[in-house]
Amino acid sequence: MVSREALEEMEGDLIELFKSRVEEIGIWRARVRYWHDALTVFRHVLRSTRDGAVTTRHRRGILEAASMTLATALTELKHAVRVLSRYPGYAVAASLTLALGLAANVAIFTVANAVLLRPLPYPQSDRILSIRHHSPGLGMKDVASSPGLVLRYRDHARTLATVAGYRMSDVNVAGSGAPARLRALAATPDLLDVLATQPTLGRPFQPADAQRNAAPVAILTHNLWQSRFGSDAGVIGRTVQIDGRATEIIGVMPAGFDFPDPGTRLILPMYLDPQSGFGTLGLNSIARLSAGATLDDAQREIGQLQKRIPEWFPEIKPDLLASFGWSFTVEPLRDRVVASISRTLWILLATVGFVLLIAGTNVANLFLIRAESRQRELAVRAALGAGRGRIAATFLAESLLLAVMGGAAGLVIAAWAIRLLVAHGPSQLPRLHEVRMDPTVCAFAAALSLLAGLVLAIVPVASLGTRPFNSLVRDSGRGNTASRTRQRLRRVLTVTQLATAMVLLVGSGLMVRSSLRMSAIDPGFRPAGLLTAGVSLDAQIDRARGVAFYYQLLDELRRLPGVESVGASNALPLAGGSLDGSSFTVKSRPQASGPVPQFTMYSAITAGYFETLGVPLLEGRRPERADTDQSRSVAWVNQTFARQFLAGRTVGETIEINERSLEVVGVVGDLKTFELRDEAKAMIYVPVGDPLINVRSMQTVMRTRGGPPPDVSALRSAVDALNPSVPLTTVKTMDEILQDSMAQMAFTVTLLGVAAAAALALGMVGLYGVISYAVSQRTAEIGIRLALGASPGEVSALVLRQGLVVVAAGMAIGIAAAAAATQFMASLLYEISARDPGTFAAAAAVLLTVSTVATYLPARRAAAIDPAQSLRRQE
Amino acid sequence: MKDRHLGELEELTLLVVVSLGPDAYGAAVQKGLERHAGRRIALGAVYGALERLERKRYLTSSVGEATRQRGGRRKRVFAQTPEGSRALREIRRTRERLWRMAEAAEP
Repeated sequence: MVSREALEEMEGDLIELFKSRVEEIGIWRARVRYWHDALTVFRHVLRSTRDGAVTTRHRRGILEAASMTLATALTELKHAVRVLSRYPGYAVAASLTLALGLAANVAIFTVANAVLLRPLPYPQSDRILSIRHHSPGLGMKDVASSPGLVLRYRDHARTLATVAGYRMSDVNVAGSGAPARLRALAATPDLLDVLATQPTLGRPFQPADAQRNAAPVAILTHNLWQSRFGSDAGVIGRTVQIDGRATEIIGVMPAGFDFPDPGTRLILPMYLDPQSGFGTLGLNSIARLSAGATLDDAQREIGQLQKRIPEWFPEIKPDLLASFGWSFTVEPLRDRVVASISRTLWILLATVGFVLLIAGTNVANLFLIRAESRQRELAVRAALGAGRGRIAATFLAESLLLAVMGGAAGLVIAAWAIRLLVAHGPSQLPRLHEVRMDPTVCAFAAALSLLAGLVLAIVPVASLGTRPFNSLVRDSGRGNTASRTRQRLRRVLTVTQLATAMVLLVGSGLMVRSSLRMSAIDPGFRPAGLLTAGVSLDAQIDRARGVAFYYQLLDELRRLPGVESVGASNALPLAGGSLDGSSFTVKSRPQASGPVPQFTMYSAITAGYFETLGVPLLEGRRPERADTDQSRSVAWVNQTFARQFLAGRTVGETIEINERSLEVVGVVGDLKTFELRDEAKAMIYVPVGDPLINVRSMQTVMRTRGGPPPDVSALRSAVDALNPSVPLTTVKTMDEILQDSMAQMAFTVTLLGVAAAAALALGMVGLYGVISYAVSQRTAEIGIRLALGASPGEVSALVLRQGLVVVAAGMAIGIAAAAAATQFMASLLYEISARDPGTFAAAAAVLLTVSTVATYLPARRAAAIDPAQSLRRQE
Repeated sequence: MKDRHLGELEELTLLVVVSLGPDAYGAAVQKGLERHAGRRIALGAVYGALERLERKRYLTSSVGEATRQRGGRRKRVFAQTPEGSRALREIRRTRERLWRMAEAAEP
């Protein structure tokens, strides 16, 4: 009996000891000792209570009841340990099944937690917003912001404390090591204020760094500081060549800073011209909320500011803005970062939830069978006075023990699976590098294990039914009446499993068919045997020298063994990156454009590019080297451009774009530019060197003749032969680029496929177990049937029928559930309906086939029963 | 109480209580044991020893005041009874006698 005073005194001691230890041995060890002390105090209280001898003042209370319950729990737990160690096979099978189900959940939850739930790694990151605009009228869903807009929002939005603009670009870095092409974040100086993250070394940008003619400065990321500068603190003040300009290093960002993604190596200040108009779209913008302002406030204010666009930028008339279909989105930066993956992750989370359900059901089935064989033991305990609650406690202790064992093993498996996921997950998966186990994950694992344990315990307790408890004693002697409830319950469990397996089969079937359709998409070129490599020149290089360099390089590359043909473009299809775009007019049909400007993207190409990629020339002539002579001013358009804007008249038309007049000399086939699943977009191709596009960087592409493609060192020496200071960027085969563009789909397909296979396997184990057990229970009955003249065929038909009734019920429920569930994955699918009848039929066929096998095996065993023996055994 | 024998932990605990004077309560005793006897004893075990000493009537206890250091919780303060002091003296005499004999036996 523990009085309230005694409790208070003990708490006081625990608190006091903890506080004094924090100073002596640090918080972690103090915590460990606190919990150790607390446990021993608890044990002390239990003992004293049992002996009924705690000092004075007696006040019976909740605490006493609780400690009695705990004493019971300890007893039952000890009992459970004894029971389980007596049946190690059962214990291992049950806890391992649970472990696999739990591991899948913990692994996917870990990813979801890191990607979707954990805040971004910046102070008060929930107050960082992403602002972007949409202009479907221009044919672009997402146009980010423009310098003009960023500057106006900064001046006028009172709900935003700071608004920053940024853009990613690749720069050439020379000095302090080999020349390299690195990913740079060009940002307005206040970007670091929005992120509330400052350099650990050196100084942040000052407004003066971002003036028009400011001396070039740069801040390094921790990663680059380590890899290129050997973590030298003396790096501040040093000068490196960035795009050919002497640039001073002024700071180093803290480790772990990876805005907007881990590829960033450098931060450069960006100048926004206060005189700039509406300007070039495509500048990303983020902002931090002012103190006291909410997301709603900011959304409302930005909404109101949209009305002032025509006032700020006289060239943008209100009706023009309307024809753009202009709209905006203000959302937390985190939502923006994870938008591409969140639905996939939620679906995967639901999927592994289903797998756990199936795994848990199998264990529940095992549990029921065990409960059956323990009938006698339970009856004895009931006879000795154990109440329903005490019997339930017995099951609970056992199921919790199994669940905890399963949970522990599950954590280990999950840790391994996560490492695999992080290593092999698609690199485009946002925040993948942040995935790791943390206390939230462990709490999730613990909670899920306990929940599984609780639910497991409910099953056998429910199977005791509502019959008078002492009938247990009567039933235990022999016979099958008591097991009826359980038989039924087990069949219900199996139906659940089969239905769940059906849902997962349909889900993964839909994904597999989507990915097959996607890989069957014609990208517009022949990817097999293509090798690509990028090169980039200094920003200041003049056009003629750049063009000459590229053609010399192409000549070098053509000489490499195995190379059949070569070409280059500033933007390869599907390779990521951005494309330039602009409005234009066709000279012969100036009025065709209407109020909405016609929009096209354009890129630069060399002679040999279309032939090398395998893009068909539909009309006109091929590009040649001499086209680089600007006086020719020629261009090629793709099929989509010809169809949309030229209305049949192609070669000889003149296109006016960005103050250039280009004569169309050919039409080529469409290429998929950004993503395989996109529609082809209108494109103009100009010869490399055309003023429309600067000559700083090009992607070369080589078609190889069967054999092994040239390796990186061969390419490197080809470049070195011309200019050793030119960096060679990503060397990839076109097949790799294609695979990357399908990586996210492949990732989802793999995980869903594994989940569905696991579900099917577990479901079949469950079905097989239930039917086998039913057969073993009916041995006597089957023996009599056989003795009375039933043929073995009739007997196995009987068992098969019994099994298939369960299968049919599971399938029916599964199909209905799948029809409802797959709606949620419609956005992940490609050219296939979420209720595609073919996929449903195929999934049903798979389930039916495998189920028939799982039922047939015990059915055959039933037919082989020897009647004489089975009857004898019953005596 | 039939058994009034003092175990080693009880003996050390009783000694610590005596040496702490008026400020002998659970946490202080635990710290005393750790610091001066070099024993890291879990708090629950200290309570066990204190409780047994109280049952053997070597200690009495009363409710003491609360401090900020302990989150405003009161403490249970222990003090030795005359019987407790006598038992300690008895043990000491026994030990000293044995030591003298042991030293005399060693060359």
